[in-house]
Amino acid sequence: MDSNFFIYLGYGIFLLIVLVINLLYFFQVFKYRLPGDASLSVLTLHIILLLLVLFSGSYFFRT
Amino acid sequence: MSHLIDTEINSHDPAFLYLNLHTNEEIKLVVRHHWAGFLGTLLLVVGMGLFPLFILFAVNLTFKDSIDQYMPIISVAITGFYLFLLTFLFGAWINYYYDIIFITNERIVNVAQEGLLSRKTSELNLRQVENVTAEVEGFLQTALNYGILVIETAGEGTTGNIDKPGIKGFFTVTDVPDPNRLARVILEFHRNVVSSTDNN
Repeated sequence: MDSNFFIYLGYGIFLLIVLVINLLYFFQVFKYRLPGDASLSVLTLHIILLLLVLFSGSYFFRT
Repeated sequence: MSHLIDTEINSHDPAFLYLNLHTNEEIKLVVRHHWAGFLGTLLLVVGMGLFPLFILFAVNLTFKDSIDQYMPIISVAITGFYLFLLTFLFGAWINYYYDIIFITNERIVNVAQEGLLSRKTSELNLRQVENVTAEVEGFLQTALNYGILVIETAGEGTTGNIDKPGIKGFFTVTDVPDPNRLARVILEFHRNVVSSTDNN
């Protein structure tokens, strides 16, 4: 099998684990955030940074 | 007061339900830890974030001709590393930001976030307060006005470790903004509680 297949597979599993951990963190933020605090702003920034890394990584992986 | 100390709180907000406030209990202050307490983690993450760039630069210099064939694995490794780093940073931020001290007209509630889905809540009745000490040590703490608040109590403390602050009889909170003023406020609330009990 192409070695890239195993790279894709490992990366996919890793992404799944990162996704699950982040979803648990998001759940925690929505459960314990206080009115008017910075939680949602930081959460939005975190999601933007995650997507930025994910998509820029995919772009370089393509080349 | 510091922006890290919130004084205008609607105690009836559903967000405070988990504190199990008593019928006439009102939250007077919500205190978050000082951001300087998070600086160490932030610097560590920035350092870790720069590390792969140096490695990539060195690899690019050394294996300039053959680097293209390893690009898929390098891209995956770097992307994975930064995803891990962001998740780690967010988790550390939650641990820092969700450590909150609630001071009500009856109690001091210290909520300690201890990792993913783990929280520890310790509370202290204001009647039990015997002494409050504010400790500000070093240049950073003095310049940014934050430090340790040690509340000596007649009851249990926050930890059982005798080597660390928080031994039995001491309720210790680290990285508290404006600890001297908080100490005065707590003693004032303590006097109010004691005098109201005496009047009844």
